[in-house]
Amino acid sequence: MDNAGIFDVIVIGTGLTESITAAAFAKAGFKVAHLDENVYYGGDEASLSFEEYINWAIHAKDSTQFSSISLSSSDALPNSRQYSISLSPSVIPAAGPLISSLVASGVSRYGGFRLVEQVAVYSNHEVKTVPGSKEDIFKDKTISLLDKRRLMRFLVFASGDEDFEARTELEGAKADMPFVEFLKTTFSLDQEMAETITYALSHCVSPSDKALSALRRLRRYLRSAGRYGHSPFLIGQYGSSGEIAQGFCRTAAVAGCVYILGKEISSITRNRNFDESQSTPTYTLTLSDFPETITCDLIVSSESRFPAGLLGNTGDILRIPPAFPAAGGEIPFTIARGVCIIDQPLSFVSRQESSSSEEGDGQESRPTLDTGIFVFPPSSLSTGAASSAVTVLVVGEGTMSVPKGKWILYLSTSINTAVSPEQLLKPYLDMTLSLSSSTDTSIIPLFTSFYLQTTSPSSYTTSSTKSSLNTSSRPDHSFGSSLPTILLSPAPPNSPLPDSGDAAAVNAEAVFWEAVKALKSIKASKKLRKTLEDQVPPTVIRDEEEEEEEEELVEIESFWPPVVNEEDDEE
Amino acid sequence: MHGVRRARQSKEALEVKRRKEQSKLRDYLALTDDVLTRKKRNEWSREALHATTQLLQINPEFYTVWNYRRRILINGVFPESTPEQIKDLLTDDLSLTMEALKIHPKVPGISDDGDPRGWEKELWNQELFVVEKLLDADPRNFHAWSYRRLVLESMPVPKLETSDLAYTTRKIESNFSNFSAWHQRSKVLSSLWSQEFDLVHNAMYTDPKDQSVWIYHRWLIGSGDSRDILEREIAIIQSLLEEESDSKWCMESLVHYKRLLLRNHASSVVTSTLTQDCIQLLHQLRKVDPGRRERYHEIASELMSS
Repeated sequence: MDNAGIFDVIVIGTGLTESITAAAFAKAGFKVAHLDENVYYGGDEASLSFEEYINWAIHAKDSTQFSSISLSSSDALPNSRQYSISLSPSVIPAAGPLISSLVASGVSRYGGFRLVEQVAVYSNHEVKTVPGSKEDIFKDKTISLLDKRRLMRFLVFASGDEDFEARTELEGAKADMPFVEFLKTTFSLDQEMAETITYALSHCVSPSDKALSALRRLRRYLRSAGRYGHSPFLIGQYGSSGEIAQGFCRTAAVAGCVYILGKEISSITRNRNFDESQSTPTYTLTLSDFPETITCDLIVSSESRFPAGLLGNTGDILRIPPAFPAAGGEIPFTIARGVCIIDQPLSFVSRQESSSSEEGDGQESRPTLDTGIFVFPPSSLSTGAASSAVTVLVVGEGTMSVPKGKWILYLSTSINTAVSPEQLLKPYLDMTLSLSSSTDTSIIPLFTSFYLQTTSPSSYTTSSTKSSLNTSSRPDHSFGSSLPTILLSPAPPNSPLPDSGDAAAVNAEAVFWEAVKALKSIKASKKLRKTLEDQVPPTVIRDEEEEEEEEELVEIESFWPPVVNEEDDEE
Repeated sequence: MHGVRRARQSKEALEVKRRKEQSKLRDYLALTDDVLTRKKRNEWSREALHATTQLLQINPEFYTVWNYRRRILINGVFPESTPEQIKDLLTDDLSLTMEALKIHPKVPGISDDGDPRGWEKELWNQELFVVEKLLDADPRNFHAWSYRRLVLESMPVPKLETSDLAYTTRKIESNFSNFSAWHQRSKVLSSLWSQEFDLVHNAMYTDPKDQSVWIYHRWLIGSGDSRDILEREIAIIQSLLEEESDSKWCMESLVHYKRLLLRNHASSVVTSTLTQDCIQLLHQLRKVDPGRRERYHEIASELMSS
């Protein structure tokens, strides 16, 4: 057999993190194979057509990630292929690691992006639009003059350049104070304003979220505002998360990455003999219903997709810790999600606000929206039981993920006790529909579905400790097994809403550099073996070695090489 | 009606007219009797309503009958009718009123009939349409202008001031000898003026450091002829200063406006307190805005010597 089935690295799972990593590998010149047992891209963050979604709901009961899946009906809706339902919906901050990766890798050219039009918060049993900028605050007729002053003073503080820890406002133990309390005491804001800032501007999840981490996150969002438009957040068209993962896979494929979808891995063999007479690859994988075996030096996989049972010795597995600062220090493990399809537009502008607008000459219709985010602060709904914030993401036809005249509502909240997602989220769905109906008629959903999504913590023990991440402890040219050859990329945090994409990009980069380090070591040790076998005068070989090594070192300077125009395929 | 001369009539014509009026009078008296009897009985029937309609078409000045009619509508007719029927009824009522206003445009009792319609908000737009139709026919009818103001105030969704202004402009352009149109204009402009202050306050509180806002505010105050406005604005700026204790613009504006008070309204203010306030503010200003400290010093000296 020729080199067809021999790869430098095999990536398992086409979730967003792994897709970004695969694209980076391919563009850096490595030979990559990218596998996914599903027939679609995106893994647990995939975007599915309506029928694919129903299929997924029926079969995902066997997965460890998803549970308690309910469907209001399995009948196909009209235009079912025009739906692109995301299993893990998210928005992208206009300034951040994911946007930078999208632009630097060229993936941003594959699809369009829409700005989220409005953010609103549930406050005093009403929908209230959230002011996000000085202009919004100036125009808002529902905030008193004094509150405007205090809110502005806080926002100026929050978007400052200095390190927050050095500021007097955070002296003492204030950094660890819950954000809501911090806002009330240090900036004299009332409960309503403090909650709006905490849950609808800073997108905190729980009342215990700490001030310092919340401030840092808020600053990222404030800096995103105005970059592409008024709102700080973008949504990828044609299905956000899944579509973006697919975009990275596409760019990987263009750079030579081989894709194998829909095949389960039936075995992984680790070649233990570092037989000096052969330079053998480290792993051989066979796939069900696939004639050839594929081999590689390094495996990169998402934790959830790694077929642990197939490999006995877990000595070489390294779990890469998340590189993205998590909300309040804890990653919520379980998210309750809801998907709801409606055929009437929503409006976040209250009747009061719309009637005093410039079009106030007798019109009573409220301006409707295409995309928006509606936040329920924790424990804000008397009929609701969520102790974390509940977020509702509304997407309309402008996102190209629904047919004309339809909208999808994605609900999510993190939970820490076992609960039925439908029971938990239904009151929030009902309240959203009743408050934001743009006419006086109530909205009846065409379809609803609820499920739980769990990010299980790693169950692998690793022989490589954290110290192996330091560059100083690079393995030398020995054949020992201190070299990690299986890397597990961290699962993306499921909340808050705007962070999962950026987390995926940052984590992907961490995995990439770790892998590059490992691959260089492997290549170096292989060359050394080769020189010994060939018994060629060392001087000549050493020059070649150095040249080649230098080449490799120079190649991978940055996460993304400069985008070359000839890579532009059909648009 | 304005400008229409009284026509002279011949003796025969007068006689014919007298006889007609006699029969009319007889009918009228019979009708009146009928209606008042029903009224005494507290009859709320449709027939009663119809009778009042007839009566009021003849004599719209019969206040008690208007009241009776209102009571019929509320007690008898509305509880038994569907919203559709109510709407129709009130529309008819409107046309009655409109007719009444056309014939006897100056009767106050008709205008008061806005009340039973108060809770049918869709009809306010119709009311406006009606009264504006009347004003098209008789632009100088101050009752109609007054009723129009009532309608505008009662509307659940307030009409824009600028469109009201445009309406008065049209009426004035077609004939500027119109006290009511000018009067309405003055009301609209006053309201717009206070809205201007509201807008500036919002900007002031959103960003007290923005110079353009303070300069515009200074223009709005002008030469400080209105003591009420000066005092109101001083209070608002004072509150802002309490929030933003080092705001140079707050302090400077307060000094300027208090000086205006001292200059223009010395007889009705406590001059010593105001002077003291200014001196204190100027003292703070010297620290907050050291570049202009000599100027502040000079102003303070002026104040102390005057």
